[in-house]
Order: sequence, then C-alpha cells, then structure tokens
Amino acid sequence: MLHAIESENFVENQRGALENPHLQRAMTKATEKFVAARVKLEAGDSAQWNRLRNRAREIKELTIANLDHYLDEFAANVERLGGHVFWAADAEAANRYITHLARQRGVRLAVKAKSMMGEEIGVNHALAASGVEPVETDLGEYIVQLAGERPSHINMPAVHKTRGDIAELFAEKLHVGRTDKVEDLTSLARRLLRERFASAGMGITGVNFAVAETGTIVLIENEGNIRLTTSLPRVHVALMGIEKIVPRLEDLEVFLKLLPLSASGQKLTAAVSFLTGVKDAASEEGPEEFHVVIIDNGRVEILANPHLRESLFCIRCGACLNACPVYQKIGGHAYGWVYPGPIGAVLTPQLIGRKRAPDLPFASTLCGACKDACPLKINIPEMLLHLRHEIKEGSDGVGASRKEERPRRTRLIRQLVNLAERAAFKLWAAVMQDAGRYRRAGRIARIVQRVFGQRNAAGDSTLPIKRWTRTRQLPQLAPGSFTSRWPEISRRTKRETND
Amino acid sequence: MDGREIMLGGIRAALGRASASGAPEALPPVSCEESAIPPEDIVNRFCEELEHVGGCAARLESGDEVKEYLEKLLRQEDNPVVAVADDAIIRSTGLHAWLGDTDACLIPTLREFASLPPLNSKTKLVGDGASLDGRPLMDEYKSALLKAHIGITSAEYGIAETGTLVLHSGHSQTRLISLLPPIHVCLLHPSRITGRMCDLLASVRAAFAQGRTLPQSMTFITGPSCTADIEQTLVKGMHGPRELHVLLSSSIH
Repeated sequence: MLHAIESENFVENQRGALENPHLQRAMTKATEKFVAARVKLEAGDSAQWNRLRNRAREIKELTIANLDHYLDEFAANVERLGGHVFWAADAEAANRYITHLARQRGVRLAVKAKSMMGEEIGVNHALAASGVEPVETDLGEYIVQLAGERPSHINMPAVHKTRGDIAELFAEKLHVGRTDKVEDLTSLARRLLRERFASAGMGITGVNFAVAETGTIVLIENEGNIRLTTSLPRVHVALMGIEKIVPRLEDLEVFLKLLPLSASGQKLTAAVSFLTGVKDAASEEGPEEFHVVIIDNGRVEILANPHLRESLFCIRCGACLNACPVYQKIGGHAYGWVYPGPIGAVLTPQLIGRKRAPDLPFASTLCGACKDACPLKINIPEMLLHLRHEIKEGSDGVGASRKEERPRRTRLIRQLVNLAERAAFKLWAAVMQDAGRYRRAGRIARIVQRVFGQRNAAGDSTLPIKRWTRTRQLPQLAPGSFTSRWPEISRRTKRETND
Repeated sequence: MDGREIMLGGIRAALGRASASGAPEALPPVSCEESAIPPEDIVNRFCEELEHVGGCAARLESGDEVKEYLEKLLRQEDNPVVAVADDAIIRSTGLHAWLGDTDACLIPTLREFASLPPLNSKTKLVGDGASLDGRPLMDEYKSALLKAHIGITSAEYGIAETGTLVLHSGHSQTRLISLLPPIHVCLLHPSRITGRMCDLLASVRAAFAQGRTLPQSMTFITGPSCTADIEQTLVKGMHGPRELHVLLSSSIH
C-alpha cells in the first residue's frame, strides 16, 4: 500500500501522538526498555566502545571521501562473480527494474526481509501495482503490514504497539482465536510465513554493508528470515544505498560489532550472512540469480553538502531514536515518513525536500543525547542547527515560499514576533555580557516576581508567544543572588565548622 | 551515459573532483584491537559465549558420546525426522549409517534424491513418498526438509570471542539444513575455533585470496534464532532454529 508522506503535518501529528493514550502507553513501556538497554551498554566495556567508534568513523570518512572508487570496485566484483548491478538514480528507476525483473521471471510472490531502503522507495506498492504480492517476513514488519501502517522505528517496526494491540490485530486479520502470549503470537506468524517462503519466486532484502574488495553483501539479523529470503527463492534482489560500502573484508569487524551493540545490546546478532555472487555449478543451494540495485535517491546531493555529508555515516542502528526524549514521547509515525527520530529529522528534509519537512529539524531540544548514543559519533545537533538555518533563512526558497502562503495578517504578526524575538535576544545578550547589567536585571526581576507572583507569563494570551510559554514555566528566582548572599553563607559556614 | 556513469560522475562532482582519481588514499592498516585470547582458554570462552546467547555447548570425547547426545534429542520426538548434511566431516563420523539404524526418519541428501529410484534401502523417504513428478529436484528437497525436526551439520570454524559458528555453503546443503529444522545440531572440532573475529576474517580472506572468491554464502551463527519485536520481549525460535546444539569433539575430523 502507498503511504502518503505526512512530514509537512508534523506539528499536528505530534500533538495527536501526545494525546493518543494508546501510543503513549506503548511508548512509555518501550522507553523503559530503551533506557535500561542504554544503562547496560554504558556499564559495559567503554574502552572497547570508544575504540570501535573511532575506528568506524575513520573508515567511513575515508570511504565516503572515495565513494566513487569503492562503489565501482564493488560493482565490478559483483558482476565478475555472476551477479547483476543496476544503478538507480531514484525510486522510480529502482522500482521499474525490480518489477520488470519480477515480470520476466514470472514472479507472483516476493518475500521481503526488513529494508528501510525498500520502505524509502515504496517497493511494496510498486510490486503490488504490477501484480506481485509482497510479503514482509520480519515479525515487526509483518505486524505493521497487517495493520496497514508504516514501521515506526528503524529496528523495531512495531514498537508503537502493545502486546494487546498485536493480539487483537492477529485475531482480527488472521481469523484466529485471540491469544496474548508472546510465544503463541510468534509461532503463529512463523507458521503462516513459512508457507510463503516456500512458494516465493523472489526474495528482496536491503544491504547492511557491501564489501568493495570482494563484491560481498552482508546482512545481519536475529530471526532467520533473511537467511530464508536469500536461500529459498530463485532470485535475490538486494537494495543498497550508495553509502553502505566498506572497503575491505576486515573493515567489517568494527561495524559487525557496533551495529548489534547499539541497536539491541548484543555482542553479535544470531545470524550474519555474507553473500558473494551467484552459486557455482557445484553448489546446489542458493538463488540462481543475484541482483544488487545501487540507489542514489538524493544521497549524492547529501554528499555534495559538506555540512550534512556526515549523515551518510549512519548505519541504521536506531540508537539515536531510543535516546531521543522527543521520539520517546511522540513515536515514529509523527515524523511522517520512513526515517523517524534524530537521524530522521536530518535525512527526511534532505531526501524528500526541506519544503516537505520544514518542522522536523525544529523538533529537538538539541540535548545531544543522539550524538552521545551514535556509534559513528554523527553530530546530529550540529546538522539540525544547519538545517534550521537553511529552512528559516530560506536558502532554498523554503522560508520564502512558506511565508508567501500565509494570510497577510498572520504575516504581519509573524514579522512583529520576529522583530520582537530579535530585540529580546539582543537585550538578553547585552545583559549577559555585562556583570553590572546582570546584577541590576536580577534585582529588577526579583521585584517583578514579588509584585506579580510566580505565574506563567502570557499563559492565556492569544499571542503567538503562547506556543512557547504553554509548555515552559518561568524559573523561580532565589530571594537574593548568590554573590549577595555569600558573606552571610560564608560566616555561617565558618561558625558551623568551628563549633 | 549509462546509469553507472551518471551516478559515479555525480559522486565525483559532489566530492569536488573533476574526474576519476587514481587509487584512493591508503586505508589504515587492518589491526586487531581486541586482546588475543590465550589458546588454552579458547574452547572455554567459546562455550561460555554460546551458552550466554542460549545455545548448548557440549564437549564430547568420543564418537559414542556424540551418538548418545543425539539419541537424547531424538527421544524428544515420537517420530523424529532428521536431515543430515552431506560433507566429509559428517561422513567420517558414520552418522548417516548410524541414524539409519535408529527409528529416526532420515531425509535423503540432495545427491541421494537425484540418484533415486525411490525406496533406496538405506534411506527412508519422508512424507508423501517424495515423488519426483516433474517438480524440480530442489523444490522437492525443500518440501521434505520443511518436515524435519533436527538438522545436523558441521561448521568450518568457530569464533571464541562471540561463541559463533562459521558455515560455508558448498556441496553439503548446510545452508538449509542449518536453517529450516527447529533444532540445529552442529559438529565442530575444537581446533577449528579461532580466538577473535578479526582473526577469522583474516583467515577467510587469506584462504580465498589469489583469484579465488569467498564461498557464495558464508554464515555466522551465534545462538538460536530469536525476536524481540513484540514489546521488546525476547522469544527464542523465530524463523530459524529454536535450539542450537554445538557438539565439540576431537573425534570429528
């Protein structure tokens, strides 16, 4: 099914998310587990964690700086070993290739492993439109496919659903008696999906890493559905973003350790598949055809922007989502497209255009938890600031066009607010940069507080400032500044220690 | 200009380069950062790590102990159906013949499937007599395999650092036998266990250097399959095996 892109309705959607008790229940439970996992990670071998991160960054920097060379090497090796490479400039080109291939091979059913790239290009919709039934085999993806929804997390697609939600969904869509036991729900899915694996003519996966020097693609998983998807059907299609390349086989080690560790606190996932070329004549098992679709879809543009290029280092571990206080509250759907959370706020405006996702970079407190959590140390807050600047100053016409769409009265109020905002910041800067002004301002503020009491300023006004003050409280000032109270405090302390 | 030229040209332009550069700047030398595991600790460490992720590690002295272990597994099922990989290591243990004498139902190897006339006296056919009426051999074999309770394979290597088995595709059908049945039993000679992942990757690369390639499929297996997609609650046994038994024995060659 084709999901509409909802990123431009972010403000509305996130409000809906906050007011949805169902979602809040699920996200609260999920967040407890995110936090516990993070605590466990930080209690582990931090020397190793840092070593891995530094090493990974080093490799990514060099790889991305020579991306053309390594991509070419990879493609040449794949082809040398009997695979096919298709270079897709965008989603349409990729989908055209895949559906054409499916038609030519008489494919009626395609099994899919979880692939964010697949979501990004909308391959399920393209397949269905051309008469091929796409079946998601990852349990989380299977659940959201049944529910007709997008995944709401990079690794845990159904994290926004409670066990009860899933039990109800299965009972309704699969026409079975309702069971709430996780083991039973899991075995039901296993049984139903097994039949699909056996009869699928094509298996579609993403790519976690692609090794340039050997033409190998690497896929990690816990469930075993990737192994099934890449060994039962006759044709295997792998969807790959240009940034998935690593240069050498041994460079994989760092990433094979970082990804499971940040994604789910595991040393290694239950299975890692290294797939190279097509089976030789002597080997009986494995697909007969192997196709890699190398996809741009806006990544080359990201590459061209030195401020944002680092967002291509992402290995899709989801750690930034788990750490983000905004994501923890609103879940993934509010972001409106494929990639939620902090990395989503950086990638979405770049991949679908800033005009269609102008609010996402602002959905952040810039707390930096994402950057701390990121195994590649991607400086997400810096990139969010950069995107904010681009959007507000309208460097690609976003700011300007948005402004033109609004009615005149709103525009005038906005201009006044902007003016007021700038003036307020100038005043603030002036006060903070001079000790005397700071003291005087403090004295005035204390008088104002005594007179008007602790109150949420402009709480009930209809001014635009209400959106800012509605969720913020004025801090309560102490009766006197610390420096004014120090003589008394120091006297008291001396007295106490002398007693 | 074809898709490749367009994309590579776009990337070069994005990186501020006029044309294809020569060899890129040298990558940092591959170095193993993890401290080496003392050889005498390797097997212990392997077993520890495997048990930690829910696998069962058994250190068995003789071929008889291996058979004893398997017997226990067979007894869990009333009419156990077993698939055994067809490789040199397994053949050297005589497991095919031994299993033929138990009451286990043995799925023929792919080679045996191909060389049938049916009802070869050494193997018992499974399910609907496995008729080969026009259906491709592989499909027939796959359907038979879907009925198996236990899959027995060997492994090329082990990795102590993570309790991982390394399986290569080839002539022995390890790929499906280690995946489809809910119980996977894997035989491994203790000397084939390396300490660290970096050592393993280096040796794989060395073994397949000089114009040779990697096997079409190399799989790292670390514990049984699992999922945590429902309320992040861990459940063992999703699409792959639910149980993993690694039998370490020097009686295996």
